[in-house]
Amino acid sequence: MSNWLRSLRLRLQVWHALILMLVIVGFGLVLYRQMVRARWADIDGQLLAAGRILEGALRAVPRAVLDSLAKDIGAPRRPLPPPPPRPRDGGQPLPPRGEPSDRGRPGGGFFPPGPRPLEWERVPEDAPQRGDWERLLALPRSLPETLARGEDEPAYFIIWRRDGSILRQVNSPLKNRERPAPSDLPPGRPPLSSRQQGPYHEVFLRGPEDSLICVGRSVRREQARFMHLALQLTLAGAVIFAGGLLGGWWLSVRAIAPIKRMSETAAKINATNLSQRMDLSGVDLELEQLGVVLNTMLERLDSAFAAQQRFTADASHELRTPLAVMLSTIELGLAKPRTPEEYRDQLFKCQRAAVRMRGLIDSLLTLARVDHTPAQLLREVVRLDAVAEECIDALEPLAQERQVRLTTRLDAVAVAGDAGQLGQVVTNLVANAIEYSHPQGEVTIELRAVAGSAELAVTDTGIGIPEPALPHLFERFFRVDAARSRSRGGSGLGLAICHRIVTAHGGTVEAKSTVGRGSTFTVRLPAVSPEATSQATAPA
Amino acid sequence: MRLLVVEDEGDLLDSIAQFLRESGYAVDTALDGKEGWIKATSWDYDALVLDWMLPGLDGIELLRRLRETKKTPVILLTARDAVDDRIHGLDRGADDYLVKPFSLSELAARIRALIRRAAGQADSTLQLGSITIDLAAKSVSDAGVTIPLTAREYALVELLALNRGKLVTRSMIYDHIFDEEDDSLSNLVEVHVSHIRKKLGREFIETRRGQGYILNE
Repeated sequence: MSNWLRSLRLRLQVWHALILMLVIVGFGLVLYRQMVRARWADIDGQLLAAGRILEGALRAVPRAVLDSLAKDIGAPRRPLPPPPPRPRDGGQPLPPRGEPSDRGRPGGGFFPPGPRPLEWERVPEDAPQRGDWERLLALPRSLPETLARGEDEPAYFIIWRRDGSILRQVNSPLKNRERPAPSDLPPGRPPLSSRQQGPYHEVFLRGPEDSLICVGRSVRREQARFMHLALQLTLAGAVIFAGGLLGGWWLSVRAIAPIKRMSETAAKINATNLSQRMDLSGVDLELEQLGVVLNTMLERLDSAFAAQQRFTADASHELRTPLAVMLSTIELGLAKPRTPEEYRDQLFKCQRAAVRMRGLIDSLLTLARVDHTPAQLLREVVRLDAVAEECIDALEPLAQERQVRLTTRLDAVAVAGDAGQLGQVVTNLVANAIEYSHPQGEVTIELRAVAGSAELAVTDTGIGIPEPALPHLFERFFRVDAARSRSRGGSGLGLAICHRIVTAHGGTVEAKSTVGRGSTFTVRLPAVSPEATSQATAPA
Repeated sequence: MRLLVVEDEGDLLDSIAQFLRESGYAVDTALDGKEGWIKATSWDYDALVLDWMLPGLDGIELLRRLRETKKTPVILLTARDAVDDRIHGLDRGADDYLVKPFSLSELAARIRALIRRAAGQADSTLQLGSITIDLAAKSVSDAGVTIPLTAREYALVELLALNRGKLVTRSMIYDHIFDEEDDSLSNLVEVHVSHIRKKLGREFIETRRGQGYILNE
């Protein structure tokens, strides 16, 4: 299970799906909301227009009516008592009881004399609206239907007086509604506020004399349409989502493919097959970088392995040769009875070969030691001049034997490192110089401090080194003149060992030479102050 | 039979050369590739013992050049024993390959085989009438009785026998029985031939006046 979670492709897919879903859902919601709001605004506008017509009509009503609107506060409604008969009129029929009359009652009572106020009563909801109201609140008959086009019910309106009683209501689905308190009204800039009341959408306006106008309409059909829209959006979203998933899956396959190819190539690589390289044709930039790094690493590994194989082959070759000499000489000696002189001669040959093998094995061991223990390099403060002097003294007999003069000029210089190994370097270089010098030649050893470095120069007046050989001098088993050095017991490792030791000490060694005149080997090492305390690193 | 040994290890060269001489071969030596090349192209050796790593001219290169003109059997000596190296050497024209350190006896046996094969001789023993020549043991017997021959005499018998039915000129005999080190006075071919006739019978070697000798089948 955890393997699944670690799959890059799977995680990519999941994240991609989530983000895609979020985006689609978000987009769909926003779209839906915007459409719904636009439609409500539209409907609001229409309702508001109707409301304003009503409001205008109310305002256009004669003053007296308006006043009566204002005065209509909490007064219980009751039927008006019939006016007393007026004897002077004699015999005029009185309006029947309960009927509104536009003939004002003469005399006292509530109303002051003056223009006759209209009197009315709370209108029963199913009482036919007649006369003045029809005229006063002249609304096009068809308006309710027009307002609620597309719906099953017509639009409705309600007008409340200041006291909460209903002045008029038309088509109201809920009869005799209470006038909503101001706090119950939906928020919104007066005079308009709108709200959804169940399947109805209403608009409220404040009318004259603190009356409240409500115009509303059914939005059932609209709501059904919105539902439908939502469904369509969801479906479309799902389809897009599915498409996006597929596309994402395809993309991720394409992106991962080169990675898979690379890991397949890498799997084919093992120690015996380092020649494989990553195929970088047509690969994306980021992956190409990785591929290049891998290929470089493979290249280095390959050449490191090849170098090691070469070294092993060379080392075994070098060891086998003196061994062959010994075995052949012994076999020859034992083939038949020989004279003592012949035996002696053969024994000498064996000895020479054995000495050569010993030298070679010593060199190989030194090389192995220097190779494997750079971390454990002793870091003492070493007086290089003292070390050099000691080594040179030890080589005096050899120099005398070869009739070579040794000249030294040693300044007091200190370096940090391993005294034994540094001594080996000096011995190697000086012994070489002596070996390759002509008789009556001169070998000069100079040690100076130059700009923070210790510089050791060994110069000989010998046969010199040809130009093409110079870059290879410090390679293992490299010999400029194979026959000559081998007869001297040289293994071809001396300079390689010097190079290794010097490099491990953080220095450089180089050779300059003129054929026939001589050569100079220069070693540079970072110098330290002789008074510095020595620190030996603990073995890792 | 005359051999050329090219090897840059002086002590090893001495041992090989001495052993082969003591085995009855005439042996020329060379310490580097150039000298080896000069000698190899100057004489018709019966076999060549060649070291791979040589100063001057590389053993493999010498072999390649030699194969352009000569079919001398060559056995390659080297300290490199990797299979690839062996394949490389053999493909370059070597007939055999010996890895150092090797046994001198084995070297001698392989040289014998090479020479035998070059002469078209499959077997180690040659039968000529009642005379049996054992090429491996380097001995000759007549009707089962071993006939003692000197090294030179045996070499001459072997040379004639391997070329039986063909005329062997005197110069050929000189070239194949004696090496550069020979300075003995007892190198007159006639002397050796008469000694052989004494031991193996007059009819053994036929003389063609003014031309050479022939050993009839």
